Amino acid sequence: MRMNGESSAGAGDVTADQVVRFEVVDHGRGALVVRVLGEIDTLTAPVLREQLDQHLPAALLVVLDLSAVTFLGSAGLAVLVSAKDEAERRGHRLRLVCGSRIATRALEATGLLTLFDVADGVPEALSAPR
Amino acid sequence: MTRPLPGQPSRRVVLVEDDPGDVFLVQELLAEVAPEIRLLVAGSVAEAIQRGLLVMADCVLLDLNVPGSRDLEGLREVLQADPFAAVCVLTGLDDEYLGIAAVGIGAQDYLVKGKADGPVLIRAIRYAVERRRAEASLVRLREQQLAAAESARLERGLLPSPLLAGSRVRARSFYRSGRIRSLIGGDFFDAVLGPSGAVHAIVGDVCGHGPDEAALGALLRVSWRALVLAGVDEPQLLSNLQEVLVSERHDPFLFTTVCTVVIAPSAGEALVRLAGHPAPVSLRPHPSTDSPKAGPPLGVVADAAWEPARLPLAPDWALLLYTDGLIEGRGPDPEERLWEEGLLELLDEERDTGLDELPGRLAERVQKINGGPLADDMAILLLSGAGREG
Repeated sequence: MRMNGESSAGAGDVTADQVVRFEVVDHGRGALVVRVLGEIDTLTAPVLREQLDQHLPAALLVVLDLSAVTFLGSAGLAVLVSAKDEAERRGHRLRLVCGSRIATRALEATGLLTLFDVADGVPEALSAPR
Repeated sequence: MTRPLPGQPSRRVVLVEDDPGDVFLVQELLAEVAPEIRLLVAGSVAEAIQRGLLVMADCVLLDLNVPGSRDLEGLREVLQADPFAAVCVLTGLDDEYLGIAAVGIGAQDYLVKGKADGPVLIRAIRYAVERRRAEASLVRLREQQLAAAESARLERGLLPSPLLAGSRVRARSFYRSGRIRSLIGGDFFDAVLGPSGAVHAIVGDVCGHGPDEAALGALLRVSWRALVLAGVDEPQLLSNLQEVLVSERHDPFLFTTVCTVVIAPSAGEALVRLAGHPAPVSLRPHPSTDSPKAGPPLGVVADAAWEPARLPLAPDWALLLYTDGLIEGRGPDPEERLWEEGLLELLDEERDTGLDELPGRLAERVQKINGGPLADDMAILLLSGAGREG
């Protein structure tokens, strides 16, 4: 299981920003949507961790939209597990929007899906009770 | 000991010389051909060591006849104080033989006083520095090679040898670490005959990719083996293994996925438990995976339970256990990963490959489809009834 180092498929000299990017939208009233586009693998998991470390302390609700994720490896899953723990420790909430077979599959296959607060879409995630 | 990088001119030369006339001569010669050199003078070896001049020096010019050091004693003292010192010895006309002997015990060169002009002196200094650097590099390289060989021996010792003597199960395996120049990674596997006559097998994957994860993987494998051989009830094995993981991990969020299989002596069925891990593939009558529901990985949920699934085994059964390194490389469509579906197709294409060759062949094909080496560790454990062909 990769954590930090090379890209999951052995991509070599690829930089993280070539593999993944983030769109952050503040929805007010302490709610923030972080949309992830690309691969969350060995190379990019630390960048996801940085994003969540930055936003979890400030926002009461962080919606992590994974619908545009093209790969979610165990390195990314480890980041999600620690982010969930961090949010709960602060009394905040991390809510996932899988939105694609890729993210759902990764969470299901590793038996982690039931661990997370998952919504069908971003509007539902924002309107669901906190 | 810090010294200038190769290619930089020598900046500091220590002259160990008690004769003021000879000191003046060396100063003049160096000033003429290499004014950038700073000459530090000590009247004896003891003074040079006491003032810490050797540490600062790129090269030491040592008169073999300074007070307190007879013949080669001074050179031995210098080399004892700094084994990597680049030393040029200075001798008189009558004792040139001492210069030759000095080179024999570690000096880089010798110069006969009165015969060495400025260019000869500066060339000797520069050659001495570069030769000593080359020697030091060779020593470091040799040390690295010895350390690497020792690590390789240690890592080889941590790789498993399945304990299946007396059982009717055969195991074949393939293992490759994703870490460069390493034999062992965070993936692990093992198979042992338990006290009840059942064969227990495990494949696991520590989340991470460094030496700490590799060490933890080896520890978990050995712990699991000890638990099985001690006759711990099968339903308790994963809970106990989770306790080991939680107490030994260096990161509180580090988890480990595991697949365990128990094959009863009758070999009519296998009991499978999945902790966040890919399900095993049954190869007979054709490659298929009857995915039981995975429980969470070890180290995530304190009071987790991992429900068993019963997998019927055909008379000519063969089971493939593996880690995700095998299926997370690129698939035939570069936009897609191989995943379980791709693995099943590969296994179908390889149905005529003997079981002995299959694990290595799979790894080879997966790497080829990926278009190059896979970054992740990969462990494959292939179990079959003992009567099966190779």
